[in-house]
Parts: sequence; structure tokens; C-alpha cells
Amino acid sequence: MKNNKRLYRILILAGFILINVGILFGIGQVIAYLNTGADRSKMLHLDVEQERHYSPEVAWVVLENPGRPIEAANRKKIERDYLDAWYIKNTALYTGDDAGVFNHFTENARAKIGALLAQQKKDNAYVESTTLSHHLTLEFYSADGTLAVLTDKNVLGVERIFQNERFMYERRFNEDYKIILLLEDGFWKVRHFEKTGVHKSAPLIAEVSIHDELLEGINYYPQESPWDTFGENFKATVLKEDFKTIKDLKLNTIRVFIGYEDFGKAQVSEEKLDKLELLLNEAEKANLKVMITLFDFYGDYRLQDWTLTNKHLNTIVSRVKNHPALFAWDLKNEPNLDFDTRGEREVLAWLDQSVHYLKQLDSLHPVTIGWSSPEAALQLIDKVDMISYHYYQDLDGLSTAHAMLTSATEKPVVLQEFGISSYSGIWNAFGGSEENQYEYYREFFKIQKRDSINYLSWTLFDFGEIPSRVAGKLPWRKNKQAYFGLIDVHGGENNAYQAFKDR
Amino acid sequence: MYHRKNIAPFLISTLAVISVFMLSFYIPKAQNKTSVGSFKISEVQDRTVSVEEQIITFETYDLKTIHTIRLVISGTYGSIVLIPKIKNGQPIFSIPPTFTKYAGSIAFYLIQHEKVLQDGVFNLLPKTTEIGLIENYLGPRSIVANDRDHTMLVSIPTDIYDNLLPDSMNIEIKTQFKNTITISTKELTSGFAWKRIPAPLVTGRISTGSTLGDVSSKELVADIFPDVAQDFSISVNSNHSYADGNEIISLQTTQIKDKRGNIMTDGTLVSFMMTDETGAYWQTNTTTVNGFAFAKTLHPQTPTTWKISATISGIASSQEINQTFVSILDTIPVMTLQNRQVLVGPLTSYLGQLVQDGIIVSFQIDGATYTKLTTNGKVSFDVKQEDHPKGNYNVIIQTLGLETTQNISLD
Repeated sequence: MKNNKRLYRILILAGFILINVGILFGIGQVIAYLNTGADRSKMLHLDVEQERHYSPEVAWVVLENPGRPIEAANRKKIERDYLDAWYIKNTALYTGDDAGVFNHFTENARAKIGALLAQQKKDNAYVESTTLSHHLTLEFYSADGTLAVLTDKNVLGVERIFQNERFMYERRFNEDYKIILLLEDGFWKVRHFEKTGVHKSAPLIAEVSIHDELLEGINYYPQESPWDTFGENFKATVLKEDFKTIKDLKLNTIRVFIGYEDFGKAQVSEEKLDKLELLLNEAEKANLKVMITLFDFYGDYRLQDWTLTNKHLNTIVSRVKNHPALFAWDLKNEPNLDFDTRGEREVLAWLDQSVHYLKQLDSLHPVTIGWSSPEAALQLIDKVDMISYHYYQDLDGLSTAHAMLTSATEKPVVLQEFGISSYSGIWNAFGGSEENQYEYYREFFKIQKRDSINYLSWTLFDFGEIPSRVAGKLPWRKNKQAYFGLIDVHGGENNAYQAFKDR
Repeated sequence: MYHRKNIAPFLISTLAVISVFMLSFYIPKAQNKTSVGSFKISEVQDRTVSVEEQIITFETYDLKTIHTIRLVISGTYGSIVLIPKIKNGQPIFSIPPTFTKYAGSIAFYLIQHEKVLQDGVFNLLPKTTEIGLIENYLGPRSIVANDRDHTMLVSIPTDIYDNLLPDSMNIEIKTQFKNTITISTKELTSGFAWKRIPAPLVTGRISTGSTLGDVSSKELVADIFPDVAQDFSISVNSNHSYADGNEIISLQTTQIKDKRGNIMTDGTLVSFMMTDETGAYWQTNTTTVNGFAFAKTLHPQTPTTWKISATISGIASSQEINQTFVSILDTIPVMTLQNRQVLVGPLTSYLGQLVQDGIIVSFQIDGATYTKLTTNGKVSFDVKQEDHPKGNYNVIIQTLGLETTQNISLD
């Protein structure tokens, strides 16, 4: 009885405290709600996030207009808000959700988007789309700076239409638009938006022919920084020595890798570009040609990412495209390995548009894609200037595989990666040895001479430590990967080195 | 090389080989049923926007495989996929009003199994016979009455479905100021017409509007404000010129106008600035009413001459005038000493009346200064024993700009 009384007391007290906590929390929420809303610091939208998820190429063709001269800051603001309107609209059509539409379209224009979204919902359809370049003319800018009329010619873009979760059609477009924007609540909002013309998509830029010297080369990473050529350990002196070693083997080409994230994605780091230029300078001094493999460790491929990869591409290509040591662009290493996880159509569409864009930026250097097998290399065969494949199987099949490709195309075919590991540790007791590697290369050079194969072998050095992202964490994979070199971790020459020397 | 070697490439290539093998059986059968050329839609003419569905018919078709055919249409805001319907035994596509209501180019693609059979473009033209509304934008909304400033009217007429109208339609832009109405006819270009409206040289309000056919816009107005002020002059007014620290002096401007005679807007800020003989400087601010600005300030307690001027900061200023104040008494009257209490006064003014309370009197003794305010014309200072011991002192008394020195002996 007494215990019960105590229990009731505790319960009543606890209940009282809980109710008070609840009331205080409620009051707090009400006060917090009343304090939100019109905040002066937000009037200019300075707090709007600045990271760009969408940055197509924009060129202002004409800025002179009869209304009033435009200031640079306002031009930028119009450009940003206009592009945001595209991004918001594309996102809305993809997700079916009109988030952000309010900020970028006036009431009447919102109604048109709303009607389209309703139609899509009814059809159970959605559209994935992006635009890649815009060519803007400022037709008119009003005296009080609150109304702007633009025409946007040759808007290049892509659209994929899905219905009932099924892919229906991919459309590449090249269209003209007319836009009237009003400055409302600090945003340039779309008032009128009208497609005024549809053109055929631009044809692919002509092929690049390649000098007929046989390609003899090697895939290159500095010994101290495998898979991280442009990292902390980057030293011009190391490159100089390594390139001398390569030249001593009478090779004429190296292949280097540029990591998409390593170089800063859409905002390419100046420091990395400087390093790339230094590498090219050293290669030029050593009389070596460089094949640059782009987009290493990139794996997104979504339409929404295209403007960012294009910006990355643009920055790098524009910087070094006139360098005499540059031989060719390898757009992506082994993209076919991403087919399973990313979808074959997505990957191929990305490659297709990136080749196209790359050729627009640099019409002089050949473009290739480093497929991981001879069969895969048949894809996009008429888009690239040079067919590249990798071959790690038994050498017996090499001749046939190579012939299969050379008969499929007139374009040069490059064996871009091949080699064998000399690793003979506990994980590979019956596997390779230096002797095997030597024999492998002797055999290879016989075939290579007979069939005149362009080749780049894998790789110059054995490496001490392989990054996990390259070959996973499993020791039998990692260790094997570390011993593909001609020169061992102590700087001594493997037997295979001799095979190269004597070829 | 890297990127995790696995057997996926082999699997893919094997699968590819198998699927090619299977396709080699499939394709000939499919071709028996239908051929690519058997679907064609009739030429699509440009047409006027409408709230009705628009029908697209086939020129050639095959009803058995019609279900594999789709029409992708792509308008300004986006694209949709149309499924053919059968109407009276004929396949048709009907474009929903979401698209047919809005003007612009429409690209279409007839597709089958992700492949394009036919593509083309047609235009939806705005409905020029039914004008919906005219949106007008006027700005800046306040301008200045001079020959440099202007405002601008932009007219954007639309049809009943909110489409821009085609070029070279005419729109009347009308403006009214005082008793003058101006009508000008402008041609639409890029869907809009605009007019620069120069500022009138007198203040007032401009009304604007535009009309296309029998549809008119709302009225928008812009206010014309006076141009910058011209220099002006000031005058002072006071009952007398004694430096009694009590009388109020009034300062006033002439009517301030711009160079075309427009009176300054009420509320224009005018600053009166005063400097006395010692170089002390102060100002009083006021705003204009009907172009005039008035300010008041207190006479000084010491005889001096003020230099007074007025400005509208950065824009206009007045001439400088002098105002002299004369002393209200010639000598400081009696100072008596009682029990270490120094009494000054009574101080009298120019009529012999007692000065008003609050006149400052300062008293210096042995390097120390004491200040007090008069009450009934008098003020007294207590000299304390502990500060100033017994002896003779020279003391100085200052008030109303006068000074006197006396010798006192303290007990």
C-alpha cells in the first residue's frame, strides 16, 4: 500500500514534468516559427548555395541592345538565373516534383510547367535531360533594369524519355529559344519561353589521321606514386630520369592518367595543370609522345553530370592541346567495366557525347577509348580516330584478336595495355616469375614484329604499394598488380627489361 | 588494366555472341511481319494554337504492329510520348492541349523500338485573332524634370493562351501628361514593343497605357520630380540683437526651385550652419515645405557675430550673412563676501530687468574654477576652509562675455 502511494507520487511528478517539457517545447516551436520568414539578410539571395551542379558552356553573342547598356554583374546574374531555370525545369521533368520552379518562373510560366508535369504523371512518363551549350543574345534590357529579352540560339542538349519505367527514346537536340525574363523578388524569373527553331544536330567533326610511325610505348606511373602521377610526390627530376630510361629502351610513347577527382572535377586545379604541363615538357625534352588518359576513376555518366565533365574536359584540353609532346587523347580507361553497374546505354551515351565535345575542343589530336578487351573495342568504332584495346589473356589469341579489329576498321589499332605479373609469392605459388615474364615478352615481340602491332605495355615499374581503390583489398590481387614492371622496387632491371632491350 | 579484373568482360562477350546468334533467327521473322517503311505519318502543317486536341493521321501504317509505334513530341518546356489510338479503324495520334495551347516549334519523332522512322518540325502559331491581355512594364517610376532623364514603357501583348504575338503587329502606346495626350504606333519585335518617354520639364505625373485591337493594358504612372535645386538666399529675423541667451532667432530661405522653376519636393533637407567669432561651429537641420525652409535657434549669452549660411548637401547653397549680438550689461555688478560666501549679482539686462535664470557665471580662485547658473539674477559661491585657507586672494568672475578681477580676504 505504502509502495503504491510512492509509485503514484513518482508517476504524478514525472507526468507533471513531462507536461511542462511538452508545453515549453511547444511554445519554443511557435516562437521559432514566428521568427522565420522575411529575413533581411536573405533579400539578395546571397545565402543561396554556390556549388554548381550544372554548368553548360555559355557564350554571349551580342550584348548591345536598344534599351540600356548592361553591367557585367547584371549580365552574370541574368545568366545564372536563366541557367538555373533550365536546371530547375529539367530536374522537375525528371523527378516530377516542382521544387524551385517558384523561384525561377513567373506565375503564368509556372502554370505551363505544372500542366506538363500533370501530363507526364498521367502518362506515367519522365524525361531526363540536360543542355550542353548556350549562345545568348541580349535583345533588350529595359531602362529600369527589370526586364530582359534574350534569344538563345543553338542550344545543344540531350533528352531521354522514359514511359512506364521503360526507355523510349534519346533525342540530341539543337534548338533556338526566345525568353523574356522579369526581375521579381531578386530573381530573374522566366515570363515567356518559346522554342523558335529546331535544327539538325551538328555533324561529328572530321576524323584525325595519324602519322604512320609504329607506336611503341609503355604505360607510365612514377615508381613512388603509382596511380597518383600528379600527387604529392610529383618531381620533374624523377620524370626526367624515368623518361631517359624509357628512351633507352627505344620506346617512343608513354601513356599517363589524369584522375577526374584528382584534378578537381569541374573546377580543375591550376596546380595539377602546371604539373601536367611539366610532365609534357619533360616528355618533349626526352623526345617522347604522350597519350593522355582522361577521366580516370570517373564513374557517374548520368546526364545531369555532363555539363560538369565537359567543363573538366574543356579546361584540361584547352590548356595543353597545343603542346608538341601531346600525341592523343584517351577519353576513358576501360569504360566497358562500368556497363554492369552504370548501364551500358548511359556509359555509351556519355562516351559518345564526350568524344564529340573533345573533338570540338581539339580537332588535331586523335581520340581513342581504352577498352578492356578486343571485343569491347568494336563499340563506337566510327566515332573515335584510333581503336584501343587491352589484352591480358594468353598470347596465343593475340594475333587473331588483333586481326579481328584491323579487319573491322581502316583506323589504326593500338594494343594499349598488355603484360604479365612476375609475382611469385605465397598467393601465386604456381604463377608468374621473372623468367615467365621474360618469355612472355620474347613471345610478344615475335608476334608484334610479324603483325606490326602498335603497343603500350603495362608497365615500367614494379610498385611497392598499390592503392586499394585500384585492385581492391584482396592480397592476391594487390600483390599480383604490383609486379607488372620491367624494373623492380629496388630499381634493378627485371629479365623482361632485357627482352625489351633485345627486341 | 586496373579496375578489378574479373570475368565480367568474358561474360559480356559470351552473352553478346549468344544474343547475336539468337537475333540472327529473330530478325528475318520480324521482317516478314512488317518493314520499317510501312509507317509514315502525313505531313504536319503549321497550325494555330488551340485548346482542342490536334490529330495527326498516318499515310501508311500496319495495324498489326501499330502497338510498337510511338510519337515523341517535343515542345518548349519538354517532351512527351504519344501512343497511337484507333479511330474508325484508322490509327491516329492526338496531341493533348498541354502542347497545342502553346506557340512555338514542335519537333516530332516517329519511333519504333528506340529507332526513328520519321522526324520533322511543325510550328504552333499564336492566335492573333483573340488577344488575351497586354502586360505593360513601366520604369523607372520616378524621374526628374530635365532633358536627360526618361522612363520606358514595354508592352507585351499575348493571345488568350498566353503566347507572344508575332512580329510586325501594331500596338498603340499612349501617354498623357497634364493636358497633352501622345499616341504612337509601334511594331512588335520579338513579341514586344517599347517606347522611351522623355521627362517633361515640369513636375507632375505621366500616365501610360497601350492598346492592341480592342484590348487595352492597365494604366501605369510615373512621377516627375523637380531637378536639382538652384542656389537660394536666406534671411534672419529676431526681436532684438542682445546676446541674452534667451531670445529665439528665426532663419529662413527663399523658395527653393530647380533651374526651370519647379519647386523642390516637400521634405528636402536644408542645413543651416553657424560659426561664431571663436570659430565654434554648429548647425540645425530642417526640411522644406512648399520650397521654404525655416529654422530657429537661441541667441548666444556672449556678444559675438555669427556667420550664417545654408546648404542642401552637395547640391545647392545660400550666401553667407552676418548677425551681430550685443552685450546686455557693461560691468559685472557688486560682489560681496559674507562668511566665506561670494555673492554675485543681481545681474540686470538691457531694460534693467533681472536676467533670466540659468546664465552661466564662473568664479576663479587660486587656480580653481567654479561654475554656477543664476537664479533670480544672482549666484553665490561657497569658498570652503579646507580648500582655500585664510588669506588674501585675487578672484576672477566671468559672465555674459565680461570679466572682472577683485581682491578678497578670507578669514
